[in-house]
Amino acid sequence: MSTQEITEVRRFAAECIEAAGGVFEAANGAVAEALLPEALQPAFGGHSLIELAFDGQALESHPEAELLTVGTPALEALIAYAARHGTTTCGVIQTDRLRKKGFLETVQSEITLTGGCRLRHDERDQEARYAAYAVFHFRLSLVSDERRERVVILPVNLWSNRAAPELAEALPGLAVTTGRPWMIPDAPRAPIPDAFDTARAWLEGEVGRLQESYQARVLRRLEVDVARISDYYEGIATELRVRHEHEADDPERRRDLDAKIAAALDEKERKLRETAERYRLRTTVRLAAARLLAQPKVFGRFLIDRKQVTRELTLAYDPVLERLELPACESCCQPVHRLTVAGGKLVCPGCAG
Amino acid sequence: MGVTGATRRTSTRRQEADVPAAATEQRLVRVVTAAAERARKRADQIRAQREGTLYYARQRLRQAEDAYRELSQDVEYLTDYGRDQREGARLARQAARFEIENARRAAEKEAAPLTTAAAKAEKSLRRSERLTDPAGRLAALLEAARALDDTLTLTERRSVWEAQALLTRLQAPAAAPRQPEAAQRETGDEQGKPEAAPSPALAYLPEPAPILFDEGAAEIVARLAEERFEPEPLFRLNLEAQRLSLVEGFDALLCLQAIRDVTEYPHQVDTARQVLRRMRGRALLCDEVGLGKTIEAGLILKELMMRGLARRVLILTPPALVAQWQEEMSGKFGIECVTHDDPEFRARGGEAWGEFDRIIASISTAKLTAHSPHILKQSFDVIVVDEAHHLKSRTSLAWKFVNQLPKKYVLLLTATPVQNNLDELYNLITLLSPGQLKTVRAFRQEFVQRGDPRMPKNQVKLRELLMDVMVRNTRSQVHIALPRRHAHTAQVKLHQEEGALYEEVARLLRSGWGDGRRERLVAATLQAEAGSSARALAPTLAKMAAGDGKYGAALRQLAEQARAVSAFAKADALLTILRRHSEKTIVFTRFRETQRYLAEALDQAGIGTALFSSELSRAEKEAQIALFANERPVLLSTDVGSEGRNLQFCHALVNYDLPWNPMKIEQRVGRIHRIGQTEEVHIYNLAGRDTIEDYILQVLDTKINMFELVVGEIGMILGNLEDEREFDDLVLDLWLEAESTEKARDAFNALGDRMVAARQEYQRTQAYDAALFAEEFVAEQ
Repeated sequence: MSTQEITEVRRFAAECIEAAGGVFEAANGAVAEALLPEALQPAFGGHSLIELAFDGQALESHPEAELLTVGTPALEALIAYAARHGTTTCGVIQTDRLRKKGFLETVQSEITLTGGCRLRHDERDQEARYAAYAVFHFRLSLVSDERRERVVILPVNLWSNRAAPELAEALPGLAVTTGRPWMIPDAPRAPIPDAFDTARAWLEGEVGRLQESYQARVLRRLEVDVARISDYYEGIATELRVRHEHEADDPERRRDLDAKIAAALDEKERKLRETAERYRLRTTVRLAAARLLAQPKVFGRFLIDRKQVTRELTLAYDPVLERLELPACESCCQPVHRLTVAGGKLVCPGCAG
Repeated sequence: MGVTGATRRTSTRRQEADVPAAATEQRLVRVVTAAAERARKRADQIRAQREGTLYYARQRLRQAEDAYRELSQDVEYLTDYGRDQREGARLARQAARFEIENARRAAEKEAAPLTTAAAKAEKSLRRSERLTDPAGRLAALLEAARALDDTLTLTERRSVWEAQALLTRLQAPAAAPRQPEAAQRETGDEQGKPEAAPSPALAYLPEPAPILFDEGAAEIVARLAEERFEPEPLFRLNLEAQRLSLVEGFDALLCLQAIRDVTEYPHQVDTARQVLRRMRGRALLCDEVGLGKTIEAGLILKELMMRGLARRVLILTPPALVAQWQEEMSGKFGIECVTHDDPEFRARGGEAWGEFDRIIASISTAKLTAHSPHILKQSFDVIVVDEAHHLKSRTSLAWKFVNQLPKKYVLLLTATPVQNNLDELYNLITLLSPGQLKTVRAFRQEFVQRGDPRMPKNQVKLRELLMDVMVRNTRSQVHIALPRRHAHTAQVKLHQEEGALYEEVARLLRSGWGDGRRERLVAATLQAEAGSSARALAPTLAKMAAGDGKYGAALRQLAEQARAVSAFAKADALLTILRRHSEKTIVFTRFRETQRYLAEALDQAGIGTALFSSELSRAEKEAQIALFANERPVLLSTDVGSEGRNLQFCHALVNYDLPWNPMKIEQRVGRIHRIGQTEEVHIYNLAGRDTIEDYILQVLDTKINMFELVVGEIGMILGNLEDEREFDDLVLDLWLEAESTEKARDAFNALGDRMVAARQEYQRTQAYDAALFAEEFVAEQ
């Protein structure tokens, strides 16, 4: 293990043991002592006081120590403990920009109203509210004849119930405090199970794209395998056919050779299917953890007039990502840049016919 | 999307589809050009070589011509002798001309096809340049490649296969049998209509399995919905746990930290990595003897299991190695396997093959009609075949059986992949990767010297093909050179009461004791204890006497007799050795009672001991090793595993009693004769005269010099013995069947002769394989 890996594992072990109520004391870089809480003792042979080594070499001077490196049963036990806990938490994305100047202009530049609609907005008609995201941490495993895993983080905007992968990219650079929001009222939220369904649908699309690229890649490998195996069995069959031609006077021998040719071709099919089956991709997705993140956003009330009809539309501006959240068509539910009023509904031109 | 958009997109995709075709074409042009040049060079080389060998023939021709010319100047004045000389010169001239002509013809016969093939290929290449149709160009290039088929390397052959697949796709009719959406999108238009026919491989490409969402999500979603939150540090810890446990490619092996009591060597780790990464889990591992093929297989197996890639494992070994594999997999890798001999397994009949996930079976049992149909119904993730040279014949039941087994990963282990001819190698490789070496006829034509099935030709190409599936580490390349080991065997004359007791035990066991499994186990235990010490024997006899009706009285009497033994000849011999040999010494015994007795005896003699046995906890074991290293001159140890512990500071070992299985003896010796040992190692063997251990030592030490063999060679020799019984079973049979000491001696002598023959056979094969493979297949670092 590299020094960095040793440091990471030691930090994880310390945090894990202390979070579980134990005591961790580092003796030197590669060895530490720990007083284990009851919950962790079974994984360490029932002992409460143990020595931990973070490097195989450290075992030479501390033979009693439990080796704790990637892949060891002891680390697996700590990982399993950590994975069972801390599955849900909450936090607040901090921002102090709680008003949006030129909200109307922003909306007009992003959304085009068609069909003679007019947009009205009063700058005083905006307020800051806590909108929320459900941030799902999925563990994705792609298994064929090898295994590749990754963690996919997907926030779902609970105001719009839309996947917000762009927030996942921005999250590491944002100031997130722990705890619950206060001071200002909450914006309406989609139920969490609905948000999970949204996340799941988005992930299915994402996995679908991964699978497509895997299939295209594996096809090249399989082509080589198919050519090799086919060449081999077809070669055998050809040799047998030549012999078959030479045995014109011996029907029994010809029957025997016919059977052998059929067997070779059967075996070819079997081997081809067996080889191909090795490449079958199996994808498993596990929800490892989820977090509810609140974030102040500016909500503005807009009025859309068309002929005698006036519709009210509430739009949200995200001061963190600095962008307007697009409204959804009330017919097809897709986020839209073009909007009109038809039959009393706010719809996209496509749905308006 | 509008019509214009769709058309633009389709056109872009067409252009994208042309890109691989162009790349394939370019690759094929490079392949053909290189192969043609190689063929011409080879032809020139053949001609030049022949010219070189004709040097002397030309000299002879010149001499004969000169002599004939000289003698022909005045023919009418020649004597009879002169005429004879002239005739001789004429014949010599004729013979030399004939020889030169023949050699030229032979060279031409070999070189001309190469030149013709190169010319033909170049012609097709030129033709392809004139064509505008991509399919036509590709067909011409393939024709060029086919002309040079015999000279293509594996990599080049792959390019040809790829091009062939592409051409089939371009030429085949538009209707596709089945095409996954992904591929359709790559090659087809919006409506899913393919533009070109699919690759033949597409018909086999399996659809990805449906995405499986773990059920545990519901609980987390519910917790989040109910706002049942946990502290932020625990959440961060959870994320860190996820990150630490992510599995990526095979560059870093997870299993290395998960195994204990194994000192894995760099070549073993390199091999495991190469097999997993480059060979995708299908390989022929044929390291030289003693370099740890089992460890390599264990590492690969463990890695696959830890990554969730393998659950069902079948290990096929010779019968004598089943127990050893079970022990090694469990002890070294924590992989618990059931053997087909286990009562639990046997009790379930044929269904057991499907009910247990990890099975070790002897290949001779597995291939039997009673088992094979059940096994062939199963789908195993990994198949390991140890001593795979038993699959050398394609017509054998064993080969056919393994060939039929459905398998994802397969490891064939043997130190001697070729024993008699190259067909054997072909058969092993074909099991792993059918077609890798083409059909057997093509293989022989291309890679085997005519008239000598042991000699390869086209070695560069053969090596390249083999490198795809074969690893062979050699002792000289992995730099494992251990100091010599010396054996000293002391044949000890037992004291009269000891000798009598031993004889009595043997007599009892030979007098219709029974040969059921349990009876044989008891017989082996009693005879081994008798060979160790009366102290070891007495408690077993007493315990058995209490429960055995038929032999109760005899056993009771023997127990009394054993308890009465007060002098121990082997213990005296041990004291003599220890006094003479003042360095640190490990004394091995199989039995705890003997160990206790020896501790007392050595203590009385003023020799301090440390004790190592299975009864100790891990900490106690470490303490005893430390005691031995720092204070006490002698470590009294039972056969409990102390592998992985550094005992190389000790250079002497005493076998106070002897395991009957040579592999176990090898394990004992391996405790000190291992990497890190710098001194020559001395092994002292103690055996009472005319005991079974005495005879075993005569076979192993006197006849085949077992103690001076390289580690692992004894296993190869036993493998050549062609006896399905384990060695300890074999010697027990010989011992129990002998009616007298003389008959036992004769039987063991005959066994010794068989062992000598087996050793010679092994040495012959080993030399052949070493010459054949040299050092070309060492694992990449």
